[in-house]
Amino acid sequence: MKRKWICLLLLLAALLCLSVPAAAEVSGYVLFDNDDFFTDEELSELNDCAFGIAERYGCGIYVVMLEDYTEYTDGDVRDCAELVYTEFELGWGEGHDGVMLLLSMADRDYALIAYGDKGNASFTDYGKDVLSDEFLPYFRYDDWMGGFRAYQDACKDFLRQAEAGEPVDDYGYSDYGYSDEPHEMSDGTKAGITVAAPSLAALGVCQGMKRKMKSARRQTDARRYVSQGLHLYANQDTFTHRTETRRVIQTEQRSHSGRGTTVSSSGFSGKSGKF
Amino acid sequence: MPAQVTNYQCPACGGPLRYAGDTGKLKCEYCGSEYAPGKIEEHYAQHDQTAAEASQAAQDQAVEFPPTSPDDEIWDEASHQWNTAEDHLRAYNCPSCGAELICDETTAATSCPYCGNPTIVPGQLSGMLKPDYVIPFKLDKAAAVAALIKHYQGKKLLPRTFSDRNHIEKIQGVYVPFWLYDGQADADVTYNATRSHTHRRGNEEITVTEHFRLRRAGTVSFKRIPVDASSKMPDAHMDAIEPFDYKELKPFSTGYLPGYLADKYDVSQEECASRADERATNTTMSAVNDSVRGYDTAVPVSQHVHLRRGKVHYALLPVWVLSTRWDGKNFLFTMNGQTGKMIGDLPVSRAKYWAWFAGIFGGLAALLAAFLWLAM
Repeated sequence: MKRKWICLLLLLAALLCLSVPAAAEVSGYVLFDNDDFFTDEELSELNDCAFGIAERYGCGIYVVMLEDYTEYTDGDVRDCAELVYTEFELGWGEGHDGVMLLLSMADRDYALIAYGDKGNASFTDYGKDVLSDEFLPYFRYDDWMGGFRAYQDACKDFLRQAEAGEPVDDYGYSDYGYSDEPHEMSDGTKAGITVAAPSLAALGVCQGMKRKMKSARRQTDARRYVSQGLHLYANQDTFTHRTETRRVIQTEQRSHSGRGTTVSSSGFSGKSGKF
Repeated sequence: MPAQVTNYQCPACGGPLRYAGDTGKLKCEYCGSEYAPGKIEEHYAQHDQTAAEASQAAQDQAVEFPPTSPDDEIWDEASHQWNTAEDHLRAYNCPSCGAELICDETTAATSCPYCGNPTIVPGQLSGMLKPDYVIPFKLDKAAAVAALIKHYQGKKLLPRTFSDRNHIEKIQGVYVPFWLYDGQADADVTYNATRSHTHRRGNEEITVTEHFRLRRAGTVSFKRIPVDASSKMPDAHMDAIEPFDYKELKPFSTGYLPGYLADKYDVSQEECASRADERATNTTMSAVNDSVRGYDTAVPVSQHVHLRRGKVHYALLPVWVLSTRWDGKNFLFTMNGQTGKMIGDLPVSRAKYWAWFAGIFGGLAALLAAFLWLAM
């Protein structure tokens, strides 16, 4: 386990030198313990994007990719994420504000944690669920860079909305931006429903009554006059081919007892799961 | 074509005989004697033959109207119309009172408007024109009137004044000519079918669809698909009063006719066949489609139906025809004279229609508004 920590520290130090030499308070934004995970170009892209967001909004956006988190802690994957965040003193500014996504490849575990006043306020419990839905579909198909890009883009949106005083929370979410509009029907919609639905129902009932007034109808079948039912003399079923479609199951409804962020005594908030 | 018609008269007292549906016998209205139709028909067979011959002779001497003169141009059109109508009329003499009866050319049984005696035109229903079967009337005029009143019940959009003020202008038991078609339909249908099953693996929902090409070919046999052979009777009404119970089909006898109108066919069995074909085709296709089981979808891609026509029977079936008049319009109702099934389109009261609409709309809107504004 010790060897792994040393490796990780060395990689982080290298990144500090390569990627963000000008920002002493900013750590590198991508941590990993296997060189095969990223190419230099990918590392550079992720770090540049993360640095831009951190500088703009004052909150670090971290990505950690490990072979197996159990080599670093006896706890769970979220404990590992908190450990990495603490050990490397990650986060922006004095408050060490930040959000971190950690992937452990061995058993496809992930943890998403936030720290600091700004980090916790910007990434609420509900917001973390929404954020997970943004990147998990990519990871399920092993599209790592796609997932990380989606993660960074979503983090940027979350921070922008938090800065505007409207952090993403469970009072509303739409596919096109993180709307804070509550799901309350407008009076116009209510009036429309109040007129349209009874109109349709009344029309259906009245048309049904009207149909009863007409009883003279041409017959179109001769079922009553079948003397010998269907005698099948050809009954062939031939298999031709098979097709397969796949659909990622989206979490449609989230159960939250309330709004905001649940922060542990260690100052972290977060969630974990499988990808 | 016979010019004389026949009354079936009571062999006991000479009074007119009428067919009574409840007993299935011919009954004398005067002395109450009852006779089996076959017996009476046998009794009058010789008499009918004579009447038919005499009727044919009279037909040859049909009434001729004087030709219009050039000076009467103003009457040309009317005269022409009268002549056209006259072409479809036949004149007979009532054997009871001697009055001249003017009947439609298809009339086979009627009543004398002067003495009221039921009369039969034997030549209309003999030889090639003789029906194979008849289903005698089981229900009488009172049952038809009662059925009409019942037909009005429960119709919420019926104008209030319709049932109160409309009058039955005419009620008549009619033996309607029908063709009964036997036959077979062979169908050969090819389908594209699919069967799908979905399972979950991890966070993915995987749907596997198996595609099949199916072929179903089979035969359905039909017996006695009825098609009315009278142009005077609306097809929709005649179709809608089905079914008739064929167990009560009897070999034709004129003994069942006294007291009712009877028409001979005026639409040939070739002309009517297309309606029976359509019904047989639809039923066969439906049966073949139903034989495709175990698939989620089955879309026919090719279908061929070959009809093999069998025997065609000619039958007279009992129908009560009631016509009423209301608000300047005629309304026609027909009742199956065997089963009592009543058919007829009724007028719709616009006021009632919109009153019901407003009531349902208002009630639902109030409930919905209360829910939307108070509960949400």
